[in-house]
Amino acid sequence: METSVEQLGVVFTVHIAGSVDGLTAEPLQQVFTHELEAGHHQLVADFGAVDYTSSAGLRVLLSTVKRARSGGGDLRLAGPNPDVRKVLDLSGFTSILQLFETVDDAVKSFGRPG
Amino acid sequence: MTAVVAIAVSVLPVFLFLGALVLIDSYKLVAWRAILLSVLAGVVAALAGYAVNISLRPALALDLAPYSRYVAPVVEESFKAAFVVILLQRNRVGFVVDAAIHGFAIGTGFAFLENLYYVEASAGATLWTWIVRGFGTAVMHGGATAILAMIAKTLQNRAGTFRLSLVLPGLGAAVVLHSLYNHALVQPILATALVVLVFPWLSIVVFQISERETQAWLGAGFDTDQELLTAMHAGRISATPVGTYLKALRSRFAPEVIVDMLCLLRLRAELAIRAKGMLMLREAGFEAAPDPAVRDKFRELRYLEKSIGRTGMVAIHPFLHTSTRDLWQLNMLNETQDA
Repeated sequence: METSVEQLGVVFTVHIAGSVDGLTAEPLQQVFTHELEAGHHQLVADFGAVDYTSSAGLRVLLSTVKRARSGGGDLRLAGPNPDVRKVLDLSGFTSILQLFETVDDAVKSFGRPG
Repeated sequence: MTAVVAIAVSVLPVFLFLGALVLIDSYKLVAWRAILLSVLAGVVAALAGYAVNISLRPALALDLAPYSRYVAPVVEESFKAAFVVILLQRNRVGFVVDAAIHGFAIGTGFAFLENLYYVEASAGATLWTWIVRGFGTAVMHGGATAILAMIAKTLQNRAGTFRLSLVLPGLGAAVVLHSLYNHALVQPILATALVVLVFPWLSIVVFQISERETQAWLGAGFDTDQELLTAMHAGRISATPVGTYLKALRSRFAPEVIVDMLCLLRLRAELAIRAKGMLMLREAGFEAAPDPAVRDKFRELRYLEKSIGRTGMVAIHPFLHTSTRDLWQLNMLNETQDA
């Protein structure tokens, strides 16, 4: 798994490529923690190049959403592939996490209320 | 000493202990309605225990001391164990921590009625009596049944199914604890202090172990269900052991039954993911919004089970996750939709 962070205004996008599983969840958590500790609470996780996410990856997303919201921001998910989207739907995560087709849509959503 | 103070001191502590147990459970898997039912079961157990005790002691011609040390613990713990048996048999308990909460709730109901009876029967007793009964005897009743339920649930997890014999070791432990308490080997106030100190410590240890076990089960189960489902959606099912097995069944079942079997496996995996997702959200402090589609899926599941028939269900049994915890998660999800 590879990650890179891009700033677009006040929104920080974490681009993720590869699989988010038991081995790679911890490094991903560190990336998000680093951003949150730097006071960046408006985050987008770019899942466009993520082919698989295990429960460990989903736990990272949940803990990041929780911390971002407690800091007045949010974590929004962009471009998950149909398999990942299906799992997020089935597990009920989409009632908590906001999903967008593209990174651009996710970034712009921070300018809109709710 | 007024009756109100006596009732407050002898009854409130055990309910506060029960409330604390529920609060420290981070998954909150036991609904308040289910806890209340267990408390009521404890009240019924106390009534049954009383009825047996008042007729059995004269029949055995035993004095109060030997009866309360050797016979009453067996009678009372057996009645309290009855509801634990029902809960485990119907897969209403997912984890050891839930068993502890149900067990303590049953003991709470039992102690509630018993102490009300003692307040009525011992009008001149001192405050110390009610402190001992409220913090010592009542918490002992809750703790003994909690230990019984935890041992039974641990054994059920290991066996993968329920048998009445799995409750016997826990029942034995509860009877021994109860009997030791009734032996009054130390001053009553010291015994009370021991119960108050040991029980919270024991609860925290059990809750921590159970929480780690829950996290491990959630993670591993979620990933397995997800892989099966992804293989089905990608049309790769024939390359999996499930696909190979279903192919082998083609000579014995009609094609439409094979299709229904595949649908059933897919639906079970989807519901399992939903249940585990709900638990993961709860673990992170979120509550998933109810999904009307879940109710429809349960309806479809029942239809498919009927359509496949008993023989077909037996045939796909090796690939249906039917451990007590797999069945519990479906019960839990179904009940959440009803709530």
